[in-house]
Amino acid sequence: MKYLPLLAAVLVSVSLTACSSSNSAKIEDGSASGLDSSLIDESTLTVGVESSDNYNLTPEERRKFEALKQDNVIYFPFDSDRIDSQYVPLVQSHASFLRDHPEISVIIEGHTDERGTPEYNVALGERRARSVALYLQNLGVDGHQMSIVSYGEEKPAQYGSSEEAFARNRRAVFSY
Amino acid sequence: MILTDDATMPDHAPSAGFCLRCLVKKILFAMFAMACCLLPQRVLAVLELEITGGVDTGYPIAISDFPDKTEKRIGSQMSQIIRNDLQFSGKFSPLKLSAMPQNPGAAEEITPSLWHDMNAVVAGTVAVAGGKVVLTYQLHDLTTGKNILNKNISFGAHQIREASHLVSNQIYEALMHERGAFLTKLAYVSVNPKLDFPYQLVISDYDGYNEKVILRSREPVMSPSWDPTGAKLAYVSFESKHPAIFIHDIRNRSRVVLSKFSGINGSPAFSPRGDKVAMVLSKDGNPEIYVADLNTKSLKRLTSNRVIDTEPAWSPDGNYVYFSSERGGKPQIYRVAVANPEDVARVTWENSMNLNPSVSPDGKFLALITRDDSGYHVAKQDMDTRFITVLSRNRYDESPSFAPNGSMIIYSTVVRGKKSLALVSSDGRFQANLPSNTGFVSAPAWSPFLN
Repeated sequence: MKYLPLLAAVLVSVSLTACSSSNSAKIEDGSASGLDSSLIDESTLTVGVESSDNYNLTPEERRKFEALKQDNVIYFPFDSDRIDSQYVPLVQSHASFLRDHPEISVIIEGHTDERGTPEYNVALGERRARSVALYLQNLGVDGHQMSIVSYGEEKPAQYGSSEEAFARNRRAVFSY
Repeated sequence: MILTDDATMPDHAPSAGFCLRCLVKKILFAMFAMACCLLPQRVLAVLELEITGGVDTGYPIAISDFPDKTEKRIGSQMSQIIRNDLQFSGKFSPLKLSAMPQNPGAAEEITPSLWHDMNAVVAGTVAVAGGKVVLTYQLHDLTTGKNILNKNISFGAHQIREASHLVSNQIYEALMHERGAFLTKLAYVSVNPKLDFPYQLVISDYDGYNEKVILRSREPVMSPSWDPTGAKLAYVSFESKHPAIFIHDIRNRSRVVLSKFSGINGSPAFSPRGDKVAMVLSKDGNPEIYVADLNTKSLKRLTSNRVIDTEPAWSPDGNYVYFSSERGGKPQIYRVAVANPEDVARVTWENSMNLNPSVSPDGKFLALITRDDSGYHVAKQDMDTRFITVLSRNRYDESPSFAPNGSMIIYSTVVRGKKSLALVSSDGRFQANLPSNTGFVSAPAWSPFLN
């Protein structure tokens, strides 16, 4: 089993060599170095999951849940992970729903605007997500129901480089 | 090898694998493709080059329009590609086609008195023989009256760009005495919010042509990093709604998960020998730099403090990792010895913030993003003098990456409200934007030498 990757690699390289010679894909310039233009497989790998939940909720609870999913964003000032007091009711309603439904889990997403570098923004986005998770925990939500993920600047709510777009993108999202 | 702290994490990665049946299928498909002479389909629009600056102080050279009798004027196409290549390097000032006093098909046809101000002329002719295109050219030195190069290049009609880049390399190497980087590739991320799978990992020629989509996903893809052979890319994919670092073999479309701890799995960077990957993990509370050894499957932590450490970049000898850190307040760049993580030194001192380091292939310069009153700019710092030269006037630059010969830097920026790639010669003399026609383009990574 251990050698299978090696064998596979050898076979693939054999097939590529065969491909390049029969396809005449070599450039000859009289010198030793020719070019193999057939190195890259043309097919594209497609990945990603479509999300849907299959929680068993009463119609009343389902309505509540769908409403929460619509009211699920906290916005932040520039370079800050402080949750403004205007979002206290929003966090409390999510916390109370999660306390009542220990079978339901939430992903807290942290996002930033596009200023700064992508990796730094992933780190800053994680601070926002952690700040919300900590708040939920203080409101009695079980740690096992929560996970955090930072997308940094990679998943903006609004594309573009205006102040308005920046403000819409500095956010944490409750994602169920 | 999967590095993880969470056995329950669902593995959505289509299996990394080497299964023999798939392989046989793959080979059959490859044979079928060969038989049908399938040509690559261009998925994205070709990036167009837009020159934003550049002083004509490079080596003066003229490239003939390569007279030929083909319907597609192959010689003319090649001449234009070579002229662009030499211009982008920042080291040449190729004469405009319209300013050429004659169009020599061979060195003997060059009238030296017509070419004042030029140091060299490339003369050549294109012919088609036996299904092959043949370019015969000479690189003629006007100062000595001698031919520096005299070459015959034969290639298929679909290899015009490749063959032209090869000629550019030959001219560059003959006159600059270092390797040309015109036959290299870029990897980058393209985002088109209108698509079902908006996030695409793309590779293309260094000048943006021949784009190929390696991966498309519903969720973000980040931070491609080449291995030193140019056969593999490490990158971050959020396809399972959580970041994981993958190593993807672009020749056979197989990939493995390297890391999917809880928290951040980010910023992978192959070591110069390809045996290690530096990365950022926040599994223990905040982002720290780690190095995974691909042979021993061990993980070594290089940083340890309560603030952000991220953006690891290797020194060319593989002994040090440069990274950005908030340990001094605002982010600055530091260096840690891989063998002895106690050995840490701060590297940048100018401006309010310095981030996103990338070391030049000769180890003498650091490309980075520096922040001043006017925004985030690509800059380069001399390792010895610590002097910083700002290379761009844009407001939102990110992700600088050196060409393997150190002559150019590719980075991402915002042009007319849209994220796109830009190129600057390492001496800052030549700048160009590579706007995309579709989507937002970011996270460029320049490949190693491939030929």
